[in-house]
Amino acid sequence: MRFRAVDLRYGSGPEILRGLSFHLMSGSFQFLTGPSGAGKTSLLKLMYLAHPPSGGAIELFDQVVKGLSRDQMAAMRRRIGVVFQDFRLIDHLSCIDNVSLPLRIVGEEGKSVNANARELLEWVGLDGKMNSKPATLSDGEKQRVSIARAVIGRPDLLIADEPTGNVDGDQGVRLMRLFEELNKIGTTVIIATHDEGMVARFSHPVLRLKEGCLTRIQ
Amino acid sequence: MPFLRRHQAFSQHASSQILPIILAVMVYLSGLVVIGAMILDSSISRWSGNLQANLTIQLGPLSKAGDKEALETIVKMLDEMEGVDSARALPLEELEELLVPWIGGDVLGDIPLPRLIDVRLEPGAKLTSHKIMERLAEIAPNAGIDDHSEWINSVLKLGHLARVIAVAVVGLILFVAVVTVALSTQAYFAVHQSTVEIMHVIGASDRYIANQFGRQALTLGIFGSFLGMGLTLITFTLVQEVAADATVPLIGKIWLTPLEWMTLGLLPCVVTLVSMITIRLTIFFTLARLY
Repeated sequence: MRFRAVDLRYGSGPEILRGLSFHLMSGSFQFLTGPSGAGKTSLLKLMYLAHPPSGGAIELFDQVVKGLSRDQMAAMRRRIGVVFQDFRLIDHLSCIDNVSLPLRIVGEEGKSVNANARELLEWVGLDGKMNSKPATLSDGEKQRVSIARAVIGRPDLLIADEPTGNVDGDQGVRLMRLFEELNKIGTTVIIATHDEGMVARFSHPVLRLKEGCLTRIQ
Repeated sequence: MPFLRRHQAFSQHASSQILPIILAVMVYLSGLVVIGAMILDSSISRWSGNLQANLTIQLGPLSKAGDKEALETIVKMLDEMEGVDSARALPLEELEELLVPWIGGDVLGDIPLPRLIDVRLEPGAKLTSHKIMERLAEIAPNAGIDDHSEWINSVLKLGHLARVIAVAVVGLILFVAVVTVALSTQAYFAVHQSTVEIMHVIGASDRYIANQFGRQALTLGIFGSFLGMGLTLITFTLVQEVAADATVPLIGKIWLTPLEWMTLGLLPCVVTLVSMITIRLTIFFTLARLY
């Protein structure tokens, strides 16, 4: 992932991000930190292609994003797994159907899809909640369903926005170990968090944002 | 609903339930307009066909002596003309019977009455009133001919106008259907905005999202359209039964030809098709706003 002098503003509002330039190597594990309102979530939106930059250029998987067709953009998004801060689960679908959705949108059907989703829900410790609806789950459980959905498509890039924000300390560490496992098998992982303790505990490179600008890349 | 797959990304919502109702009403109204236009059209064709096959020749009052002889000559001449099926002079008594209710029997004897000859043409005959007049001029220069052309032209104009109005009304109904379906699709999408965004971000193509909604809409649309057609047919059957009991000479028996039935059968298919195209285009336009 390469950002070249990227700016972001929503509509005609003020600039949220200014002149961001950095390069993340494939297979890396990166933290993104900064105080609340620094623009972490906005930067992640650019990374998972939910919003276009208002200036500069983004390269992802060795392709310049600007100018891609809508189908090419959709194909690129399928290579990215996203864990949202607010989970973004579909309320009327069960856990297993939420998790299997990324496979179904590429036309995969049948028992293997359910088997995959079941395996992942067991992996995140939700084997007893396969058919539960999101409304019946705790925030920590929703977070884990969201993680299972993000990884079921074996993404090349995994982006997580405050993934440990809704779980207790031990659970948070267990989730981080999960992300490290994924990173070991080649997935590039970007974790946005304001939990400095978590950043200090795991020795991975850090991007620091302050008032829409990158202040440090370590 | 049972036709929805378990993992259908879009849930059922009141905004989607309105689609079959809209289409049922649109098809019902269009069906009534089309049936009305077809019945009027076939009635007009029947009236004008009957009248075009009939001519009335009017001879000025003749002297008593020459009357019968002149009439017989004219009738014979007409009978022998190519394209004429029959020619019959209306007897004076029959003519007087026709006039009595209008002017009374007392004065009839004092009024010189014209003589009328009823001419029936063979079906498809190319004989024109102009040709008949040319022949008549030789033996009865004072004869006049009434081929009902003025009345037929008025009725044909009425028929043409009815057709134009029917097409315009069906077009208007389709237009309203398109606008309503587009607005209800937008409402449905607004309700499911978060689901659409999730699917978009996890990599669903526009086509996939459109298909997810389209499959649901197609089932609801077909149901609504054929429900509307069913209501149209029930109404038509009721009207047929009432018309069969009543004596309505100008309308006659209400029925449709096989071609008209086919046209009617196409109506729900056309409305469903137009609605599906509208829904699909609305979805693509709405999705185009997402990055």
